[in-house]
Amino acid sequence: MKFKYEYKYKELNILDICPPHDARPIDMELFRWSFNKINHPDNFLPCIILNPSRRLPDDNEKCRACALSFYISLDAAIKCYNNLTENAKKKLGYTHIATGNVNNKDGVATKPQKHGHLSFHESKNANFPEKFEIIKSLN
Amino acid sequence: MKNINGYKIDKLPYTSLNKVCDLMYYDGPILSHYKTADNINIFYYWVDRDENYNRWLVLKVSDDDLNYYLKKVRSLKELILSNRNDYIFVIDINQDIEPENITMIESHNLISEYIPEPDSYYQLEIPDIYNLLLQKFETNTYLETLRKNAIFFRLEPEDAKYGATVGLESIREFIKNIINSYKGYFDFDFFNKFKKI
Repeated sequence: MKFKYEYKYKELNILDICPPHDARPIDMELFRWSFNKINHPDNFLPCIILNPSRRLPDDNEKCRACALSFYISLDAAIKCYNNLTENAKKKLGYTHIATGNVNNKDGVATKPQKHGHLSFHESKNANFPEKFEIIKSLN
Repeated sequence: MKNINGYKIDKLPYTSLNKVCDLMYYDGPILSHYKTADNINIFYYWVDRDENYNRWLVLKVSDDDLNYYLKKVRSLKELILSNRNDYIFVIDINQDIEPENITMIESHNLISEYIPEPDSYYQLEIPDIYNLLLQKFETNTYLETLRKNAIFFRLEPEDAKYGATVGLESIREFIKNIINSYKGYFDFDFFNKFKKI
């Protein structure tokens, strides 16, 4: 599978570890915090593009910065948003939750964490603004 | 980026950090827990950004505070403002992911925007990586409860022939008497409470 940010993996010298070896294609409904409207240009940009220096000097963070965060349920997306401080909510700026069905051609996902978060590495041809829709306000 | 009033220093006092867990995360870290080689807990908390930098608060967190933060007893605000953190550090990470403008600041001098709300409690399930820490505190809590509710006796021999040593036979007799005394007390207490029925 070709990945959308493969050029970043090369640039960061992490081709051998990114995407992580245990990341797998998935076929399921996922949820993500987003801006309103769904075609907002920043809605599906990973940190490495949107804010490349929001990571700490730790090599393991390079790969994750090339992935998008998703949640496996609406409840998980809401709970994790409520876990943020008000300042973090403000700095991130997201106002809504979007949902869409992701399939095994869209990329690979890490195993969901206990609280329902996973990191997703997009394939070159994935087009999330077309697949996702806004379903709920975060406020 | 907001001005910070504190003492500029060359580098952070914490080195060889190992990532433990992200406690807040979305596309990138927001609140991350690291450990030093000496097992000191360090929190990195993302508070600000501009076109050149991302700003983080860096603070030491005791095992006790970490335990109570994870259990939703202490808030992130309390951890930042707690007495253990007379000083915390503010660092700006540049585009090359290097720390700049490292400032040591008294926590109560932080600008209010960087201080979390009073109800900034951890709200998620506790990650498995903290199981050992939680177990340690559960054992401590049990022992603390036992000690708190314990009755202490001081045993001394009547005869100074063997110094302060108390013989096993005497200890056995003493414990037997304590048990009898308790039984007698319970009988009396029961009789007293129910004698009018």
